[in-house]
Amino acid sequence: MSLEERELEVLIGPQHPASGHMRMIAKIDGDIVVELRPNIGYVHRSVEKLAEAKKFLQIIPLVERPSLADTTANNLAYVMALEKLLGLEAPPRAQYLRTLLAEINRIHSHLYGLGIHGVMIGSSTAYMWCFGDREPFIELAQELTGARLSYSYIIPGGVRRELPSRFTEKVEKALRYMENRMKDYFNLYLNNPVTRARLEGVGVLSKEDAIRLGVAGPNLRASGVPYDVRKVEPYAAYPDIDFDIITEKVGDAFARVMVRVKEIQESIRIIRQVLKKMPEGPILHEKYIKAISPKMREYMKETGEVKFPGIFANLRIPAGEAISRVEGGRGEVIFHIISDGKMSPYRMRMVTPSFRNVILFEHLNRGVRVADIPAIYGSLDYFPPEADR
Amino acid sequence: MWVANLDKAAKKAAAWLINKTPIRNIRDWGIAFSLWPVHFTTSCCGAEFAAAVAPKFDAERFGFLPFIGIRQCNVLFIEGTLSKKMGEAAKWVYEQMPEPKFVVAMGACGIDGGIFWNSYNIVRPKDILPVSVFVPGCPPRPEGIAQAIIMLQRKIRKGELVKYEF
Amino acid sequence: MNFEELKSRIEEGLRELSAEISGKEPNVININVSRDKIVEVAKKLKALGFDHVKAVTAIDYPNERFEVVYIASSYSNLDLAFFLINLRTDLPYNDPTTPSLIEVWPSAFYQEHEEHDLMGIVFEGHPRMGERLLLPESYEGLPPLRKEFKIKTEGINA
Ligand code: SF4
Repeated sequence: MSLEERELEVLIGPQHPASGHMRMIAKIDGDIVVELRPNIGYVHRSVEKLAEAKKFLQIIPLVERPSLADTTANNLAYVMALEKLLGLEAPPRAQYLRTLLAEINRIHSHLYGLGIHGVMIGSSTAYMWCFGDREPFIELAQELTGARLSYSYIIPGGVRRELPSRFTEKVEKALRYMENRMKDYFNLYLNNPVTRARLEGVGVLSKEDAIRLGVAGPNLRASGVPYDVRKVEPYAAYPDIDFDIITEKVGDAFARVMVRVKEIQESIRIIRQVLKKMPEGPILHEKYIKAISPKMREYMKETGEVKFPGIFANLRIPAGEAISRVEGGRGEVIFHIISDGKMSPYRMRMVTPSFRNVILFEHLNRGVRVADIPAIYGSLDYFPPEADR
Repeated sequence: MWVANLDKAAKKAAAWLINKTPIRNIRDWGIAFSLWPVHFTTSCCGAEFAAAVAPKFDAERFGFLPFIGIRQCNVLFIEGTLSKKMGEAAKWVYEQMPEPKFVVAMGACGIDGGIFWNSYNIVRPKDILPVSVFVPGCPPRPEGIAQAIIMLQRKIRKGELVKYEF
Repeated sequence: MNFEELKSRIEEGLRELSAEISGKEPNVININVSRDKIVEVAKKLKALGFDHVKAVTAIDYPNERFEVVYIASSYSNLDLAFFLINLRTDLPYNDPTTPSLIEVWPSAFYQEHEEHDLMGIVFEGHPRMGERLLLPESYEGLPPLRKEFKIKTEGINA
């Protein structure tokens, strides 16, 4: 029999536990994948087009929706682009609060990714643990912002709320809990021979290929490229904070998982520093505070909740162009905003890490076994709504 | 011929019996606590759906556990926006599920498009599927999902949704 | 490396290619080229160390022109990673074709495909032109990101 005749085309997804909201079209020969093509667009909701019809402030919740498990990154990147165009910077306390939320979000976003990965390689324990341990951090974020996942916490010129009372203690409690849990993760999941056998040496991405394909986030760092926007172009409070870029050398599925796990530990370190160094001061740019009525200013002082100044409703952004980037849980989020001085952007380009990692499906799944597809997929922490936008 | 008639009669008798009060109640009670949602994530609400079946909210205590094979499932959870492409897939999935089956639409998007109401690439779940319960919110909290499950169970036990016809 | 240094180095590298170079502090360098030179410019930039594309943006100026922007940066040289090179080219409105840069920067593969799908730009040499990426296969009509493609709006200024 010739090779062509033995090849079989298999459609995996979109209704499949190992596919999420996408379809993979695999050509297989026996148990070996000859070629795999991602068929995306199942969650394309046209964020870029809708943004052109919404006002600048209304876009904040819109850009959060594509990556619901990691909303702070999108929120922050978008607002940073606006701030670049407005030519203002948030006061230091607001920057620290942003960092705090971003790191809390990073932890629960990584746990989300690890949990989904657990489902994909058939380890229910990992799923249950990760999703259970995600909750304390979601709760922290909820206390800070008022929402479980879609925070919309960061606004042009500052943040929306003050730190709640006794927040530091609660954070410390959650961090200590997570640190203890980390040991269990290593013992029962990461050093588990079954996990290792499924992940080690699977889906190896070499450093050269990672660079060539423009991969983003932990997937890039797992291949040994120490690129992290927080260090390369520091934003928010990161310039004052001491942390390491986590890298691995091997670039296989296990390395990608390890980077996430170690980044959780690193985030714990960052959060402690942020809370210790948090400066006093306003949480909104003085230009906007002045625009709030005195009565509302009183209210703000009492409750720590920012009341939006009237100009926010019809916020006009000066004409121009701005590019901002932020290191989110899944990687680098890029906003390229072109404004023509009106109340909505002329063009908003949003490039999410998942979209940049789509290319890996084709690249990594060549010549692997069919059972490795979910292991590779899961290790990429790919979130289809984020890729399709 | 004779055999065929007997068959028919037996089926009729079964249908009569299964729709008769005590058995019907037991039947509906049973269905209400064995809900198997399909593992079919359509959009971002899936993040909260996953949280709802995870330890803290534990939807399993309502007899609700996501399952892989469509042929063994009876609930289709539309987790948020349905894009046009996904709408097709949702219809296929629904058609392949065995009776009795129920549809729950989650999120503002599941109701009327939510934040994406004017997008060019979405469909409303109610236009293509018979939705029994809507869960508002963007995203709905896991408690909201629990509430939806309870509502669905109530509806089933009232006998509104399940009809056996032979 | 500081901004001025890099800018002059790029200017030097691209001297014969009639590229317009302008900078925007602190880290954005705009390079405008015509579409027949874009591949060469991209090759030069790659040789300078800009090894991947972060984003490809296509912008529609109705009845005037299209603009395609490649945002390139570096992973292998972390000194350069701070800088974002915007490689821009203008395309006439009735003929939005431009050579594809996937040979130089494979990282642009899906980005170019997306801009083709949603904005209708044709990248010559890209193997998936004419195929859909994000839109359903059955989609017909104007590419949705064009300004002529109208969506419903809300509110009093609608
Ligand atoms: S309701 Fe909100 S969270 Fe749910 S799918 Fe729609 S946008 Fe996403």
